[in-house]
Amino acid sequence: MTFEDRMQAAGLTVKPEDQPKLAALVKDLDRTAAQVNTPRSYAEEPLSVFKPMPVPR
Amino acid sequence: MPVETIAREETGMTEPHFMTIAEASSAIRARTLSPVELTQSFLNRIKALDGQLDAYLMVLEETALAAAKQAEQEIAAGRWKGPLHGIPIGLKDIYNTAGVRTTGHSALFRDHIPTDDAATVTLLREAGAIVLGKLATWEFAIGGASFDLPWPPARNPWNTAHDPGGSSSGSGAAVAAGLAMAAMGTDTGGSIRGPASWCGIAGHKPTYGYLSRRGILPLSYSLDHAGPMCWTAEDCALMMNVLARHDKLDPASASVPVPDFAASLGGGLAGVRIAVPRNFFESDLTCEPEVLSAFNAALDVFRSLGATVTDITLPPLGFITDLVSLITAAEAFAIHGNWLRETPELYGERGRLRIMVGAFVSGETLVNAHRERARLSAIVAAALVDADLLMMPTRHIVSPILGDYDSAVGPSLTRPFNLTGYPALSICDGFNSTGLPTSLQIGGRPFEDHLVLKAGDAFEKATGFRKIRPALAAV
Repeated sequence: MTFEDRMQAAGLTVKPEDQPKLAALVKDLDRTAAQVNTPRSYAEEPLSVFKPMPVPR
Repeated sequence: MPVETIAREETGMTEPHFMTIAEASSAIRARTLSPVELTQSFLNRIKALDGQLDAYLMVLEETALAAAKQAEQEIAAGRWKGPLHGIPIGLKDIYNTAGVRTTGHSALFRDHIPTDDAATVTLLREAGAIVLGKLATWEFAIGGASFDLPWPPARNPWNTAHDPGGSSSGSGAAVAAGLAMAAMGTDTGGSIRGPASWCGIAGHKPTYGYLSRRGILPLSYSLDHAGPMCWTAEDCALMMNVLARHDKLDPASASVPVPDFAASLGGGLAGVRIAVPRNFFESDLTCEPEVLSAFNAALDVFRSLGATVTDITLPPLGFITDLVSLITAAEAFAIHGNWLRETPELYGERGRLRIMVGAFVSGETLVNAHRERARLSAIVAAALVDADLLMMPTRHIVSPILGDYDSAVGPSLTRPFNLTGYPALSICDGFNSTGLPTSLQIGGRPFEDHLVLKAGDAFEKATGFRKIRPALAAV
Protein backbone atom coordinates (compact mmCIF):
# COMPACT_ATOMS: atom_id res chain seq x y z
CA MET A 1 0.00 0.00 0.00
CA THR A 2 1.51 3.32 -1.02
CA PHE A 3 1.67 6.37 1.21
CA GLU A 4 -0.96 8.03 -1.00
CA ASP A 5 -3.24 4.97 -0.69
CA ARG A 6 -2.91 5.06 3.08
CA MET A 7 -3.74 8.78 3.09
CA GLN A 8 -6.84 8.12 1.06
CA ALA A 9 -7.89 5.21 3.28
CA ALA A 10 -7.64 7.52 6.30
CA GLY A 11 -9.74 10.13 4.49
CA LEU A 12 -6.99 12.73 4.80
CA THR A 13 -5.94 15.43 2.41
CA VAL A 14 -2.62 17.15 2.81
CA LYS A 15 -1.17 20.19 1.12
CA PRO A 16 1.45 19.13 -1.44
CA GLU A 17 4.19 20.94 0.47
CA ASP A 18 3.27 19.07 3.67
CA GLN A 19 3.32 15.64 2.07
CA PRO A 20 7.09 14.97 2.36
CA LYS A 21 7.05 16.06 6.02
CA LEU A 22 4.15 13.76 6.81
CA ALA A 23 5.76 10.93 4.87
CA ALA A 24 8.92 11.31 6.97
CA LEU A 25 6.88 11.13 10.19
CA VAL A 26 5.08 8.03 8.90
CA LYS A 27 8.40 6.40 8.05
CA ASP A 28 9.58 6.90 11.66
CA LEU A 29 6.31 5.53 12.95
CA ASP A 30 6.48 2.46 10.69
CA ARG A 31 9.95 1.73 12.03
CA THR A 32 8.59 1.78 15.60
CA ALA A 33 5.60 -0.33 14.55
CA ALA A 34 7.96 -2.99 13.18
CA GLN A 35 9.68 -3.09 16.58
CA VAL A 36 6.44 -3.67 18.51
CA ASN A 37 4.78 -6.07 16.07
CA THR A 38 7.00 -8.96 17.10
CA PRO A 39 5.99 -12.48 18.15
CA ARG A 40 4.52 -12.46 21.66
CA SER A 41 2.83 -14.89 23.99
CA TYR A 42 -0.95 -14.68 23.79
CA ALA A 43 -0.88 -14.21 27.55
CA GLU A 44 1.04 -10.94 27.31
CA GLU A 45 -1.72 -8.42 27.97
CA PRO A 46 -1.58 -4.67 27.41
CA LEU A 47 -1.85 -2.30 30.35
CA SER A 48 -4.95 -0.73 28.85
CA VAL A 49 -7.33 -3.55 29.68
CA PHE A 50 -10.94 -2.60 30.20
CA LYS A 51 -12.06 -2.17 33.81
CA PRO A 52 -15.79 -2.06 34.49
CA MET A 53 -16.91 0.63 36.90
CA PRO A 54 -19.45 -0.09 39.65
CA VAL A 55 -22.97 1.03 38.74
CA PRO A 56 -24.04 3.88 41.05
CA ARG A 57 -27.21 2.99 43.03
CA MET B 1 27.18 27.99 21.66
CA PRO B 2 25.73 31.46 22.20
CA VAL B 3 28.17 33.87 23.77
CA GLU B 4 25.63 36.22 25.27
CA THR B 5 25.45 36.21 29.04
CA ILE B 6 21.92 36.26 30.39
CA ALA B 7 20.84 39.06 32.70
CA ARG B 8 19.74 37.67 36.04
CA GLU B 9 19.04 39.00 39.45
CA GLU B 10 19.68 37.74 42.94
CA THR B 11 16.38 38.06 44.74
CA GLY B 12 15.91 38.74 48.39
CA MET B 13 12.46 37.24 47.87
CA THR B 14 10.95 40.42 49.28
CA GLU B 15 9.20 41.49 46.09
CA PRO B 16 5.71 39.93 46.22
CA HIS B 17 5.97 38.57 42.68
CA PHE B 18 9.15 36.67 43.56
CA MET B 19 7.81 35.15 46.77
CA THR B 20 7.17 31.44 46.87
CA ILE B 21 3.71 30.15 47.74
CA ALA B 22 5.11 29.03 51.10
CA GLU B 23 6.37 32.54 51.86
CA ALA B 24 3.33 34.40 50.53
CA SER B 25 0.80 32.16 52.22
CA SER B 26 2.45 32.67 55.62
CA ALA B 27 2.32 36.42 55.10
CA ILE B 28 -1.30 36.28 53.89
CA ARG B 29 -2.33 34.20 56.86
CA ALA B 30 -0.56 36.63 59.20
CA ARG B 31 -2.34 39.44 57.33
CA THR B 32 0.93 41.19 56.52
CA LEU B 33 0.31 40.60 52.79
CA SER B 34 -2.98 41.45 51.13
CA PRO B 35 -4.29 39.07 48.43
CA VAL B 36 -5.63 42.12 46.60
CA GLU B 37 -2.25 43.88 46.60
CA LEU B 38 -0.52 40.63 45.67
CA THR B 39 -2.89 40.00 42.76
CA GLN B 40 -2.62 43.61 41.61
CA SER B 41 1.17 43.39 41.66
CA PHE B 42 1.05 40.34 39.36
CA LEU B 43 -1.46 42.05 37.05
CA ASN B 44 0.79 45.11 36.87
CA ARG B 45 3.79 42.96 36.11
CA ILE B 46 1.93 41.07 33.39
CA LYS B 47 0.98 44.40 31.79
CA ALA B 48 4.56 45.62 31.96
CA LEU B 49 6.42 42.50 30.87
CA ASP B 50 4.24 39.99 29.08
CA GLY B 51 4.64 41.79 25.78
CA GLN B 52 8.16 40.35 25.76
CA LEU B 53 7.10 36.83 26.72
CA ASP B 54 3.64 36.19 25.26
CA ALA B 55 3.04 33.82 28.16
CA TYR B 56 -0.62 34.81 28.52
CA LEU B 57 -3.32 34.26 25.91
CA MET B 58 -5.89 35.94 28.13
CA VAL B 59 -5.61 37.93 31.36
CA LEU B 60 -8.67 37.80 33.63
CA GLU B 61 -8.08 41.05 35.49
CA GLU B 62 -11.61 41.73 36.66
CA THR B 63 -12.43 38.26 37.94
CA ALA B 64 -8.97 37.87 39.49
CA LEU B 65 -9.37 41.07 41.50
CA ALA B 66 -12.89 40.09 42.52
CA ALA B 67 -11.63 36.70 43.73
CA ALA B 68 -8.74 38.40 45.55
CA LYS B 69 -11.16 40.76 47.33
CA GLN B 70 -13.28 37.80 48.35
CA ALA B 71 -10.20 35.99 49.66
CA GLU B 72 -9.19 39.04 51.63
CA GLN B 73 -12.62 39.31 53.24
CA GLU B 74 -12.67 35.60 54.08
CA ILE B 75 -9.25 35.72 55.69
CA ALA B 76 -10.14 38.90 57.61
CA ALA B 77 -13.21 37.06 58.91
CA GLY B 78 -11.02 34.22 60.17
CA ARG B 79 -11.90 31.79 57.37
CA TRP B 80 -8.40 31.04 56.02
CA LYS B 81 -8.74 28.04 53.72
CA GLY B 82 -5.11 26.95 53.50
CA PRO B 83 -1.82 27.77 51.78
CA LEU B 84 -3.36 28.51 48.35
CA HIS B 85 -5.85 31.05 49.72
CA GLY B 86 -5.17 34.31 47.90
CA ILE B 87 -2.35 32.89 45.73
CA PRO B 88 -2.35 34.09 42.08
CA ILE B 89 -1.94 31.31 39.53
CA GLY B 90 -2.19 30.76 35.76
CA LEU B 91 -3.76 27.93 33.78
CA LYS B 92 -2.45 26.38 30.58
CA ASP B 93 -5.12 27.12 28.02
CA ILE B 94 -6.23 23.52 27.71
CA TYR B 95 -7.80 23.62 31.20
CA ASN B 96 -11.50 24.31 30.80
CA THR B 97 -12.75 27.43 32.56
CA ALA B 98 -16.49 27.97 32.91
CA GLY B 99 -17.64 30.84 30.75
CA VAL B 100 -14.09 31.70 29.74
CA ARG B 101 -12.63 30.82 26.35
CA THR B 102 -10.38 27.74 26.36
CA THR B 103 -8.60 27.58 23.02
CA GLY B 104 -5.87 24.95 23.14
CA HIS B 105 -3.91 27.78 21.43
CA SER B 106 -5.69 26.76 18.22
CA ALA B 107 -7.92 28.49 15.69
CA LEU B 108 -10.08 25.36 15.83
CA PHE B 109 -11.11 26.19 19.42
CA ARG B 110 -10.93 29.99 19.09
CA ASP B 111 -14.58 30.29 20.18
CA HIS B 112 -14.71 27.34 22.58
CA ILE B 113 -16.32 28.49 25.83
CA PRO B 114 -16.77 25.62 28.29
CA THR B 115 -19.68 25.52 30.68
CA ASP B 116 -17.68 23.96 33.51
CA ASP B 117 -14.26 24.31 35.08
CA ALA B 118 -11.85 21.40 34.82
CA ALA B 119 -12.01 19.31 38.01
CA THR B 120 -8.56 20.51 39.08
CA VAL B 121 -9.55 24.15 38.49
CA THR B 122 -12.56 23.64 40.74
CA LEU B 123 -10.26 22.30 43.47
CA LEU B 124 -7.91 25.26 43.11
CA ARG B 125 -10.73 27.80 43.28
CA GLU B 126 -12.23 26.02 46.31
CA ALA B 127 -8.81 26.31 47.98
CA GLY B 128 -8.90 30.06 47.37
CA ALA B 129 -6.40 30.31 44.51
CA ILE B 130 -6.81 33.37 42.26
CA VAL B 131 -6.85 32.61 38.51
CA LEU B 132 -4.91 35.37 36.71
CA GLY B 133 -5.46 34.08 33.21
CA LYS B 134 -4.98 31.46 30.52
CA LEU B 135 -1.48 30.59 29.39
CA ALA B 136 0.13 29.79 26.06
CA THR B 137 0.69 26.19 25.01
CA TRP B 138 1.77 24.31 21.93
CA GLU B 139 -1.35 23.75 19.83
CA PHE B 140 -3.42 21.15 21.68
CA ALA B 141 -0.23 20.39 23.67
CA ILE B 142 1.66 18.89 20.73
CA GLY B 143 3.90 19.87 17.86
CA GLY B 144 6.26 22.56 19.12
CA ALA B 145 6.45 26.33 19.16
CA SER B 146 4.46 27.53 16.15
CA PHE B 147 4.31 30.86 14.35
CA ASP B 148 1.21 30.09 12.24
CA LEU B 149 -1.37 30.07 15.06
CA PRO B 150 -3.72 32.89 16.11
CA TRP B 151 -1.38 33.78 19.01
CA PRO B 152 2.43 33.88 19.08
CA PRO B 153 4.44 31.25 20.96
CA ALA B 154 5.67 32.01 24.48
CA ARG B 155 9.30 33.03 24.97
CA ASN B 156 11.89 32.13 27.57
CA PRO B 157 12.34 34.81 30.26
CA TRP B 158 16.03 33.94 30.70
CA ASN B 159 16.56 35.07 27.12
CA THR B 160 13.53 36.03 25.06
CA ALA B 161 15.18 34.82 21.86
CA HIS B 162 15.08 31.33 23.34
CA ASP B 163 12.45 28.61 23.62
CA PRO B 164 10.70 28.15 26.98
CA GLY B 165 10.02 24.51 26.10
CA GLY B 166 6.61 22.97 25.81
CA SER B 167 3.98 22.18 25.58
CA SER B 168 3.24 24.06 28.86
CA SER B 169 5.29 26.94 27.47
CA GLY B 170 3.34 29.85 28.93
CA SER B 171 3.18 28.14 32.32
CA GLY B 172 6.96 27.76 32.47
CA ALA B 173 7.64 31.29 31.25
CA ALA B 174 5.08 32.92 33.56
CA VAL B 175 6.29 31.20 36.73
CA ALA B 176 9.99 31.84 36.02
CA ALA B 177 9.36 35.52 35.22
CA GLY B 178 7.19 36.15 38.27
CA LEU B 179 4.03 36.62 36.21
CA ALA B 180 2.24 33.89 38.21
CA MET B 181 3.14 32.36 41.54
CA ALA B 182 2.27 28.93 40.15
CA ALA B 183 0.68 27.47 37.05
CA MET B 184 -1.01 24.31 35.94
CA GLY B 185 0.58 22.33 33.12
CA THR B 186 -0.05 19.01 31.45
CA ASP B 187 2.47 16.34 30.53
CA THR B 188 1.98 13.67 27.85
CA GLY B 189 5.64 13.22 26.89
CA GLY B 190 7.36 15.81 29.09
CA SER B 191 5.25 18.92 28.69
CA ILE B 192 5.48 19.95 32.35
CA ARG B 193 9.09 18.92 32.92
CA GLY B 194 10.48 20.21 29.61
CA PRO B 195 9.44 23.83 30.15
CA ALA B 196 10.28 23.53 33.85
CA SER B 197 13.78 22.51 32.75
CA TRP B 198 14.36 25.27 30.22
CA CYS B 199 12.72 27.95 32.39
CA GLY B 200 14.57 26.89 35.55
CA ILE B 201 11.52 26.16 37.71
CA ALA B 202 10.06 23.12 39.48
CA GLY B 203 7.56 21.07 37.50
CA HIS B 204 5.91 17.96 38.87
CA LYS B 205 4.30 15.26 36.75
CA PRO B 206 2.36 13.30 39.35
CA THR B 207 1.69 9.58 39.25
CA TYR B 208 -0.89 8.81 36.55
CA GLY B 209 -4.27 8.79 38.26
CA TYR B 210 -3.37 11.06 41.19
CA LEU B 211 -4.84 14.18 39.54
CA SER B 212 -8.08 14.28 37.60
CA ARG B 213 -7.83 14.95 33.86
CA ARG B 214 -11.54 15.74 33.59
CA GLY B 215 -12.16 19.00 31.82
CA ILE B 216 -8.68 19.24 30.30
CA LEU B 217 -8.54 19.08 26.49
CA PRO B 218 -7.14 15.59 25.92
CA LEU B 219 -4.21 14.63 23.73
CA SER B 220 -3.55 11.01 24.71
CA TYR B 221 -5.93 9.42 27.17
CA SER B 222 -3.41 6.92 28.51
CA LEU B 223 -0.43 9.29 28.70
CA ASP B 224 -1.89 12.68 29.71
CA HIS B 225 -1.08 13.94 33.20
CA ALA B 226 -2.07 17.19 34.91
CA GLY B 227 0.40 18.76 37.31
CA PRO B 228 1.73 21.86 39.06
CA MET B 229 4.55 24.14 37.90
CA CYS B 230 6.04 26.37 40.61
CA TRP B 231 9.26 28.09 41.60
CA THR B 232 10.10 25.36 44.15
CA ALA B 233 9.42 21.70 44.90
CA GLU B 234 7.92 22.82 48.22
CA ASP B 235 5.34 24.87 46.33
CA CYS B 236 4.57 21.87 44.12
CA ALA B 237 3.90 19.91 47.32
CA LEU B 238 1.51 22.61 48.53
CA MET B 239 -0.31 22.47 45.20
CA MET B 240 -0.43 18.67 45.31
CA ASN B 241 -2.13 18.83 48.71
CA VAL B 242 -5.08 20.51 46.99
CA LEU B 243 -4.95 18.76 43.61
CA ALA B 244 -4.53 15.08 44.46
CA ARG B 245 -8.12 13.89 44.85
CA HIS B 246 -10.01 10.88 43.54
CA ASP B 247 -12.46 11.85 40.78
CA LYS B 248 -15.07 9.21 40.13
CA LEU B 249 -15.87 10.90 36.80
CA ASP B 250 -12.32 10.43 35.46
CA PRO B 251 -11.93 6.75 34.46
CA ALA B 252 -8.18 6.91 35.12
CA SER B 253 -8.48 8.48 38.56
CA ALA B 254 -6.94 6.38 41.32
CA SER B 255 -8.80 5.83 44.54
CA VAL B 256 -5.81 5.69 46.86
CA PRO B 257 -4.90 7.27 50.19
CA VAL B 258 -3.35 10.71 49.67
CA PRO B 259 -0.51 11.79 51.97
CA ASP B 260 0.21 15.33 53.16
CA PHE B 261 2.87 16.12 50.56
CA ALA B 262 4.09 19.28 52.30
CA ALA B 263 4.38 17.54 55.67
CA SER B 264 6.58 14.90 54.00
CA LEU B 265 9.29 17.48 53.27
CA GLY B 266 12.37 17.96 55.42
CA GLY B 267 14.26 15.54 57.62
CA GLY B 268 17.19 14.79 55.30
CA LEU B 269 17.72 11.98 52.84
CA ALA B 270 19.65 9.47 54.94
CA GLY B 271 19.14 5.97 53.60
CA VAL B 272 17.49 7.08 50.37
CA ARG B 273 18.79 4.98 47.47
CA ILE B 274 19.20 6.76 44.15
CA ALA B 275 19.63 4.84 40.88
CA VAL B 276 21.04 6.61 37.83
CA PRO B 277 20.32 5.07 34.40
CA ARG B 278 23.48 6.43 32.80
CA ASN B 279 22.86 4.69 29.48
CA PHE B 280 19.95 7.09 28.93
CA PHE B 281 22.17 10.18 28.75
CA GLU B 282 25.70 8.89 28.20
CA SER B 283 25.19 6.43 25.34
CA ASP B 284 21.57 6.60 24.15
CA LEU B 285 21.81 10.39 24.03
CA THR B 286 24.59 12.95 24.14
CA CYS B 287 24.23 15.58 26.83
CA GLU B 288 25.75 19.01 26.58
CA PRO B 289 28.86 18.92 28.80
CA GLU B 290 27.56 21.66 31.10
CA VAL B 291 24.25 19.80 31.56
CA LEU B 292 26.15 16.65 32.46
CA SER B 293 28.55 18.37 34.84
CA ALA B 294 25.66 20.13 36.63
CA PHE B 295 23.92 16.77 37.01
CA ASN B 296 27.01 15.04 38.39
CA ALA B 297 27.55 17.92 40.82
CA ALA B 298 23.92 17.56 41.91
CA LEU B 299 24.49 13.88 42.70
CA ASP B 300 27.30 14.97 45.04
CA VAL B 301 24.80 17.20 46.83
CA PHE B 302 22.45 14.24 47.27
CA ARG B 303 25.35 12.16 48.64
CA SER B 304 26.13 14.94 51.10
CA LEU B 305 22.49 14.82 52.21
CA GLY B 306 22.85 11.15 53.12
CA ALA B 307 21.62 9.39 49.98
CA THR B 308 23.47 6.61 48.17
CA VAL B 309 23.92 6.69 44.40
CA THR B 310 24.22 3.65 42.11
CA ASP B 311 24.43 3.49 38.33
CA ILE B 312 22.00 1.16 36.54
CA THR B 313 21.07 0.33 32.95
CA LEU B 314 17.52 0.56 31.62
CA PRO B 315 16.15 -0.35 28.15
CA PRO B 316 17.17 1.96 25.30
CA LEU B 317 15.77 5.46 25.65
CA GLY B 318 15.24 5.83 21.91
CA PHE B 319 12.77 2.97 21.81
CA ILE B 320 10.89 4.25 24.86
CA THR B 321 10.67 7.67 23.20
CA ASP B 322 9.38 6.22 19.93
CA LEU B 323 6.81 4.09 21.73
CA VAL B 324 5.38 7.15 23.51
CA SER B 325 5.27 9.00 20.18
CA LEU B 326 3.35 6.15 18.57
CA ILE B 327 0.78 5.83 21.35
CA THR B 328 0.35 9.61 21.52
CA ALA B 329 -0.18 9.91 17.77
CA ALA B 330 -2.74 7.09 17.66
CA GLU B 331 -4.72 8.35 20.65
CA ALA B 332 -4.54 11.98 19.48
CA PHE B 333 -5.79 11.05 16.02
CA ALA B 334 -8.74 9.24 17.60
CA ILE B 335 -9.65 12.60 19.18
CA HIS B 336 -8.81 14.91 16.28
CA GLY B 337 -9.45 12.66 13.24
CA ASN B 338 -12.78 14.12 12.21
CA TRP B 339 -11.60 17.71 12.61
CA LEU B 340 -8.45 16.94 10.63
CA ARG B 341 -10.53 15.48 7.81
CA GLU B 342 -13.01 18.35 7.78
CA THR B 343 -11.02 21.48 8.68
CA PRO B 344 -7.29 20.73 8.53
CA GLU B 345 -6.63 24.39 7.70
CA LEU B 346 -7.65 25.37 11.24
CA TYR B 347 -4.55 23.69 12.65
CA GLY B 348 -1.00 24.97 12.49
CA GLU B 349 1.39 22.92 10.41
CA ARG B 350 3.28 21.34 13.27
CA GLY B 351 0.24 20.26 15.29
CA ARG B 352 -1.61 19.10 12.18
CA LEU B 353 1.17 16.80 10.96
CA ARG B 354 2.06 15.47 14.43
CA ILE B 355 -1.52 14.37 15.00
CA MET B 356 -2.25 13.24 11.43
CA VAL B 357 0.51 10.66 11.60
CA GLY B 358 -1.67 8.77 14.08
CA ALA B 359 -3.95 7.79 11.20
CA PHE B 360 -1.23 5.42 10.10
CA VAL B 361 -1.15 3.33 13.30
CA SER B 362 -2.99 0.03 12.89
CA GLY B 363 -5.06 -1.59 15.63
CA GLU B 364 -2.51 -4.39 15.85
CA THR B 365 0.31 -1.91 16.33
CA LEU B 366 -1.48 0.08 19.02
CA VAL B 367 -2.36 -3.00 21.06
CA ASN B 368 1.19 -4.31 20.74
CA ALA B 369 2.53 -0.90 21.76
CA HIS B 370 0.51 -1.15 24.97
CA ARG B 371 1.79 -4.69 25.51
CA GLU B 372 5.33 -3.38 25.07
CA ARG B 373 4.49 -0.59 27.49
CA ALA B 374 3.58 -3.21 30.11
CA ARG B 375 6.85 -5.07 29.53
CA LEU B 376 8.98 -1.92 29.86
CA SER B 377 7.04 -0.73 32.90
CA ALA B 378 7.81 -4.02 34.64
CA ILE B 379 11.53 -3.47 34.01
CA VAL B 380 11.40 0.03 35.52
CA ALA B 381 9.38 -1.33 38.46
CA ALA B 382 12.07 -3.93 39.06
CA ALA B 383 14.73 -1.21 39.10
CA LEU B 384 12.76 0.52 41.84
CA VAL B 385 12.90 -2.48 44.15
CA ASP B 386 16.54 -1.84 45.04
CA ALA B 387 16.29 1.92 44.61
CA ASP B 388 13.89 4.53 45.92
CA LEU B 389 14.45 7.17 43.25
CA LEU B 390 15.68 7.46 39.67
CA MET B 391 17.70 10.53 38.69
CA MET B 392 18.88 11.95 35.38
CA PRO B 393 19.01 15.31 33.65
CA THR B 394 15.55 16.48 32.54
CA ARG B 395 16.72 17.70 29.13
CA HIS B 396 20.04 16.92 27.47
CA ILE B 397 20.42 20.50 26.26
CA VAL B 398 19.64 23.94 27.60
CA SER B 399 16.99 26.04 25.91
CA PRO B 400 17.70 26.55 22.19
CA ILE B 401 16.71 29.53 20.07
CA LEU B 402 12.92 29.68 19.61
CA GLY B 403 12.05 28.00 16.33
CA ASP B 404 15.21 25.87 16.24
CA TYR B 405 13.48 22.53 15.91
CA ASP B 406 16.59 20.48 15.18
CA SER B 407 18.58 20.92 18.41
CA ALA B 408 16.16 19.09 20.67
CA VAL B 409 15.30 16.11 18.46
CA GLY B 410 16.24 12.62 19.59
CA PRO B 411 15.49 10.47 22.59
CA SER B 412 13.58 12.17 25.40
CA LEU B 413 14.57 11.78 29.04
CA THR B 414 11.08 12.68 30.23
CA ARG B 415 9.11 10.01 28.37
CA PRO B 416 9.96 6.97 30.49
CA PHE B 417 7.77 8.48 33.20
CA ASN B 418 4.83 8.98 30.83
CA LEU B 419 5.17 5.42 29.62
CA THR B 420 5.17 4.03 33.16
CA GLY B 421 2.93 6.68 34.71
CA TYR B 422 5.45 7.01 37.55
CA PRO B 423 5.97 10.41 39.22
CA ALA B 424 8.76 12.71 38.07
CA LEU B 425 9.86 16.17 39.16
CA SER B 426 12.13 18.56 37.28
CA ILE B 427 14.12 21.08 39.31
CA CYS B 428 16.84 23.58 38.46
CA ASP B 429 20.34 22.24 39.20
CA GLY B 430 22.42 25.13 37.94
CA PHE B 431 23.15 27.45 35.03
CA ASN B 432 25.39 27.09 32.03
CA SER B 433 28.12 29.55 31.13
CA THR B 434 25.63 31.80 29.34
CA GLY B 435 23.24 31.81 32.28
CA LEU B 436 20.59 29.45 30.95
CA PRO B 437 19.17 26.97 33.49
CA THR B 438 20.14 23.30 33.61
CA SER B 439 17.94 20.75 35.28
CA LEU B 440 17.65 17.51 37.15
CA GLN B 441 14.81 14.99 36.99
CA ILE B 442 13.78 12.90 39.99
CA GLY B 443 11.52 9.90 39.39
CA GLY B 444 9.99 7.53 41.87
CA ARG B 445 7.62 4.66 42.49
CA PRO B 446 3.94 5.14 41.70
CA PHE B 447 2.10 7.06 44.42
CA GLU B 448 5.39 7.92 46.13
CA ASP B 449 5.31 11.48 44.84
CA HIS B 450 5.96 12.66 48.39
CA LEU B 451 9.46 11.16 48.33
CA VAL B 452 10.19 12.67 44.90
CA LEU B 453 9.13 16.10 46.18
CA LYS B 454 11.05 15.62 49.44
CA ALA B 455 14.26 14.93 47.50
CA GLY B 456 13.70 17.94 45.26
CA ASP B 457 13.01 20.19 48.23
CA ALA B 458 16.12 18.96 50.06
CA PHE B 459 18.28 19.73 47.01
CA GLU B 460 16.81 23.18 46.53
CA LYS B 461 17.34 24.07 50.19
CA ALA B 462 20.93 22.77 50.13
CA THR B 463 21.82 24.88 47.08
CA GLY B 464 21.36 28.51 46.14
CA PHE B 465 19.76 28.19 42.72
CA ARG B 466 16.32 29.36 43.91
CA LYS B 467 17.73 32.80 44.69
CA ILE B 468 18.38 33.60 41.04
CA ARG B 469 15.63 34.93 38.77
CA PRO B 470 15.68 36.12 35.17
CA ALA B 471 15.97 39.90 35.04
CA LEU B 472 13.29 41.38 32.80
CA ALA B 473 12.91 45.11 32.39
CA ALA B 474 9.86 46.89 31.05
CA VAL B 475 10.47 48.26 27.56
